[in-house]
Amino acid sequence: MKKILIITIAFVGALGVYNAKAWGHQAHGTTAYIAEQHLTPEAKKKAHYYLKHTLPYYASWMDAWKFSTKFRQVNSWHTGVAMEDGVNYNMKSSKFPGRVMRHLVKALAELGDGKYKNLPDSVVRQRLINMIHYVGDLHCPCHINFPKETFPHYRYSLNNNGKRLSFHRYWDGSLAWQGRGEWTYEEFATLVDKVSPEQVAVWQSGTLEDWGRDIVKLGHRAHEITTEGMDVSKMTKEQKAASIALTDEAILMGGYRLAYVLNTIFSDGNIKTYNEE
Amino acid sequence: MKKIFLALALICGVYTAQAWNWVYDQAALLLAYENMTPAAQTELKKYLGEDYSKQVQTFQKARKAGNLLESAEWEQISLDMDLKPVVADDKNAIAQLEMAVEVVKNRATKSNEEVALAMHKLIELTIAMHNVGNISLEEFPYSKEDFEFQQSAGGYGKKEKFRTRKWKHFWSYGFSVFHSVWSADMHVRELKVCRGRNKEQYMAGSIRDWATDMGKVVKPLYEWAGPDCYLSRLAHSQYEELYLDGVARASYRIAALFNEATK
Repeated sequence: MKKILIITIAFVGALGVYNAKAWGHQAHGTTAYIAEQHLTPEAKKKAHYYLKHTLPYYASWMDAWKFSTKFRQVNSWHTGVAMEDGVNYNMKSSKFPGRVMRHLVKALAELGDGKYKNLPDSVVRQRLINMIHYVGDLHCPCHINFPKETFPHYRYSLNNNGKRLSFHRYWDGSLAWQGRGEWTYEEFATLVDKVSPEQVAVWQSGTLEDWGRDIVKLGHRAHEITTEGMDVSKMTKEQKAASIALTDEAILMGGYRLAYVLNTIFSDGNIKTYNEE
Repeated sequence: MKKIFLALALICGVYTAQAWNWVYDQAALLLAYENMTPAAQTELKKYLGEDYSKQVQTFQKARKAGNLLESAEWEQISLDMDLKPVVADDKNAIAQLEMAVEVVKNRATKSNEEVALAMHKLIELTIAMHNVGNISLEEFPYSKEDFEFQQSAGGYGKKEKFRTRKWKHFWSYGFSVFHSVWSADMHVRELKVCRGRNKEQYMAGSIRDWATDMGKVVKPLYEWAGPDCYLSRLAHSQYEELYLDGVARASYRIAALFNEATK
């Protein structure tokens, strides 16, 4: 019964993403577009060689096909879980939801340090397709779940003009809720991608464990901005600004980190998972 | 009377001409322009204006306004059992394109309106003949019709949901869903990455060769596709490649026709 309920909820949720031009399409595509703009020429050439397409083309592949029986297993690879302390990211969660980081770590282990050269092209291609989506999902403010034991107060809904609206649905489709649902990737890049080299260096430094802590912070900020029962149709100017700032930061951080991941892989390097490695 | 008949035929779907999503058509023309000779680019702008890239789907718009109803027939191609084009009259894309090339070649003796119409044909009918929905194969009679089929809307196994879709509509608009906020420029970049390496191959040959090409592409589809067939998500994904292939072929071939006609 529980399984049926989970599948039903996931299915309805995915339809929402599908229809609302949500993170699944627009934010994922924008993240991938930002990343592509910051690839080294070598990494771009190799990424295009394996993918046979641009990065944004495959940005939502995992969302699009997770309900295909053949790709059923990828359905649970989209979200992460914070540790009970609410500071650290649960790097090893094998529960559904919570697997996205585990799969990013696995993909890096398979491709990094030049190992991608020893794999069949089709395997590299599929790992890249998945990674383009993982890094986007990792940075989506509602794709980090907080343990109910220590964060029971994070389990609530919002509302839209009196109608119940899930917290997840708002943040998944935040670009649309912010009136930017029709923005093209180029428009976003032109208007929003004004990140300083210093900030980029900070985002791209550290281990995946460090990145996880940043992502947990994004999740907390989302709960601070959209509090329990908030009517998103009546947000104040300050609340709207905070919502936009968080979405922008999540997309840009994800985009620059995706570029870093691919630049690292295609220069035969790797990214450490833990600080104490 | 003829207009009434054609209007009725349109309603009945006999000549349901299919364009792609507008942004794909615009992308096809933008990429075509990049691959035109300077002379072709100059002539295109001279007759269609500086905003040439927005000059797509004009036949479709005209038909909606009750004009140029016969243009729905121009957008079709038919192929015989050997995938050779059937060009018995001028009511098909191949004959219309061949005539349009001649008009543009002899533009010095033609009125501006005639040349502009011919250029619209070069753009829009080349796009049309690369749309699966406009290609009829003698071997598969239902390829001429706009049949209904079942498209997966997600779910697993017995719980998988299906939606009833129209085949020709699917081949026009069924592939823009997952790239819904893509600009025409973004599509151009994508086409160059995913199909740029085939440019020379696509541009070579004649209009009739291209029709046979498309027949070879489309034939395997009809080995399984027909009224009430089921289309899985995976198949949908795989056919997106075929759809892009059509857009890329059309784009490079528009350039080839303009280059040839303005030599």
